[in-house]
Amino acid sequence: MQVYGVLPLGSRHAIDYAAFLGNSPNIRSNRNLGPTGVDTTRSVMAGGRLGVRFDFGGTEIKLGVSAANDRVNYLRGAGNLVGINEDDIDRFDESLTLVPRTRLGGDLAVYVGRAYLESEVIFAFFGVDKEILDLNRTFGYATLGYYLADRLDIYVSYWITDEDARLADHPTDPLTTLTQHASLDIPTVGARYSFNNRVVAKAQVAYVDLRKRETLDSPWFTGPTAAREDQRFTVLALGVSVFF
Amino acid sequence: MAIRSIYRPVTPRIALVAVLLFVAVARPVSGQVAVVANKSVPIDALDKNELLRLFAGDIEYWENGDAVVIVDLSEKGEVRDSFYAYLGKTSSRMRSIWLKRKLTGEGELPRTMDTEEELLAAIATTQGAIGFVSRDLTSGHPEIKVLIDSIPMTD
Repeated sequence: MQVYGVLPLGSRHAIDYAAFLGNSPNIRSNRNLGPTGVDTTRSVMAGGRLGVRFDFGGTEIKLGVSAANDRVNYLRGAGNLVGINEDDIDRFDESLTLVPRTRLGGDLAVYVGRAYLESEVIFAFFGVDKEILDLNRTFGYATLGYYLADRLDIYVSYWITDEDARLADHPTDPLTTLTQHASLDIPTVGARYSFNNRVVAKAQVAYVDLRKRETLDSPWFTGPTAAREDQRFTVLALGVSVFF
Repeated sequence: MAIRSIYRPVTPRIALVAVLLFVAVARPVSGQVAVVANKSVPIDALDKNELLRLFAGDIEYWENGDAVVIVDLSEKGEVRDSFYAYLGKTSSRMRSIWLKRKLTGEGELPRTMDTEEELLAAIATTQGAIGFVSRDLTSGHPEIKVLIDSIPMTD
């Protein structure tokens, strides 16, 4: 369910608002099956966005803040970047399955003639028992584009995801603390062609840089033990969107 | 006896008529774009800012409760370019606005017609519809009203 609207600010500017209540986008609920496409959680997502639009003719500026709250199966294959799951927690109980998540975000978009900038940052906070697991995530992107023609635009984009986890209840030893950091950096270049108002083709090349750092702090070892894992690969993606 | 030439020099009056005829054939008599709507639409005129709000989806319903139905023209040309120049937006920017609204569930995409004649027919038969055509085509359609009649054609 969604409520949305526009409040005019003068003759050209406006305030946008939206509030929604519905299924959480928690589609990776089964660790063995991977993405299932079905929200199997018994939770709802509530959230909203408040923004302002300035229209100066050939230049537009949009600013907004957003918030959302839901519960996710974050420890059962629902896609945390650091890779922590229920097996990593000695005193795992079912209350940790549906992890409350609060997301706070801000967005900025600027349109000047044929050029545009669109960006957003989101901070996610997880309500896990922090004596066991302290987890937070930051996500952001910025896209800079230009319309070469009425139907063709090109863009460059940069996506980042940072995740930090501190696990203080390692199954092997309750005195051991596991600290993990994962970052995902994805610079992208692409092009988009609109055949008409309803059919859009897109092609992009993304360079994926995934880095994981893990530190094990235990009284049984002299000094922290560190490990790292890096993955780098390139993705070519082609797609067509059809809007009905 | 002098031979009378069959070739007579063009007089200024004839030249003027020829120029006027050429101009009349070369482009529409008015050279303007009109904003038109179904006769059910409860307004008789609107300004540019109101027009932009309608086309951007900020206004979704007319005062009589009918949904605003935007009708766009797909064929690239003077009429379409002139209309969007008047709005102060590129057609690509408008498309971006419509797609975002569609993706967020806040609106629908406009109906798109291939020719001005099809657009007029769609507006004549759709309650709440609004669109744009060459002003020359607006006469003889009792189901349609003209809301703005003097948007200049851009070259």
